[in-house]
Amino acid sequence: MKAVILSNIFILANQIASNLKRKLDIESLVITNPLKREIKVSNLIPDDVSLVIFDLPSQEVKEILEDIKENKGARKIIVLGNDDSYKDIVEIVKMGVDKYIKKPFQDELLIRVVKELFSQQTPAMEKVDKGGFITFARKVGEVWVVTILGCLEEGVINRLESMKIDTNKVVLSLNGVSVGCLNVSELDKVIQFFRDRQIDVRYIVVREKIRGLLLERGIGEELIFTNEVLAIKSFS
Amino acid sequence: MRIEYINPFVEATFEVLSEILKEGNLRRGELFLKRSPTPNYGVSIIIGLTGPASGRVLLDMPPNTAKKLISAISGDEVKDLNDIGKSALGEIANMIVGNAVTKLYKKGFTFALTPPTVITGNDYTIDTPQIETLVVPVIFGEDKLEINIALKEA
Repeated sequence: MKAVILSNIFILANQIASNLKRKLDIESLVITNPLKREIKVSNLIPDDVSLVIFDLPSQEVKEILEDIKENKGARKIIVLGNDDSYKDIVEIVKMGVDKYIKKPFQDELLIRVVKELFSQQTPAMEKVDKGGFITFARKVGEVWVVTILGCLEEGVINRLESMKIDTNKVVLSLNGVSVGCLNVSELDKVIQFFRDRQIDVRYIVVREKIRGLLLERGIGEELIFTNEVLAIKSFS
Repeated sequence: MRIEYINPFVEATFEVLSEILKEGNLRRGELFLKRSPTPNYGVSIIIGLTGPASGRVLLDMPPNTAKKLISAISGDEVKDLNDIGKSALGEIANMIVGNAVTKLYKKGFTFALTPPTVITGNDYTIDTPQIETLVVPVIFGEDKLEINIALKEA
């Protein structure tokens, strides 16, 4: 992955670049004093750049955002700012910024934000389906994390089929399933869906009732976890 | 902001907290309004939604409250808000959102939602729109959290 860092202070930009390289193996191109040097930033951002970090005064950020907005695409934009006015921050964020980080901040925060923006592929907004359920799916490394929220009703299988799961490792969170509208035969179908495809599933369940239903269906205790991190780690 | 959109989130939060803390001693604090759904306490769960109304629901709590909730579902005392703790908090959020989705659906409202996102730390990032926000404090023992509901009719 590649990043562009825009800053008026070379030392700071260099420090950010070095952290990105050391902690996330991201190569950075540092552009200093872009406006003073009358640089048209949009011409300088290569196609393979996925991340743009601004460490510039608000007015300069706004001007450059205006310049690059047509080419944003799937690129993520982070602004490091010290605006005191909430109005200014909102104005900048509305111009297509993915994250605004208020200065001063610790290096770790920026690393965490970058990780959140890229490694965990946040799923898009999903609509509640007929039957009153909603599903989210995202890939974390080699593992698909699938979440079902609301009712576990007819139709969930169709949603699972449409997810195009391309690994044999799945973490399935059932914590969002409302016990009051849990159709047990649909739960059977979900378990069978993964068995038929020889997909190794780890379940995330807190509620005793759902846990009991899984155990009754031959899911081993060792496959049931209370949170995603432990469930994903269990594959390694 | 219609009460029909607000109540499912408030009720779901109360029900899930009662369930995981195994106590019925939760009470609602005084409601108030603020300018936007910005977090105050250091640990936040954010859910975006669109549909008949659009905006954010943000659960905001101090780290100690978050640790208490995580301990309650994991069965172990939690001292740090590490990745495992945050992940557990995400599961609590799933429980609340799942419950709210069911309630909204039963009332005939179909929203689109983002998955809950957990944010921690004293350094903060902002990407919330400026929408007048109803804050519902939830108090249990010495702990509290705030439900920030910022929805704008479509």
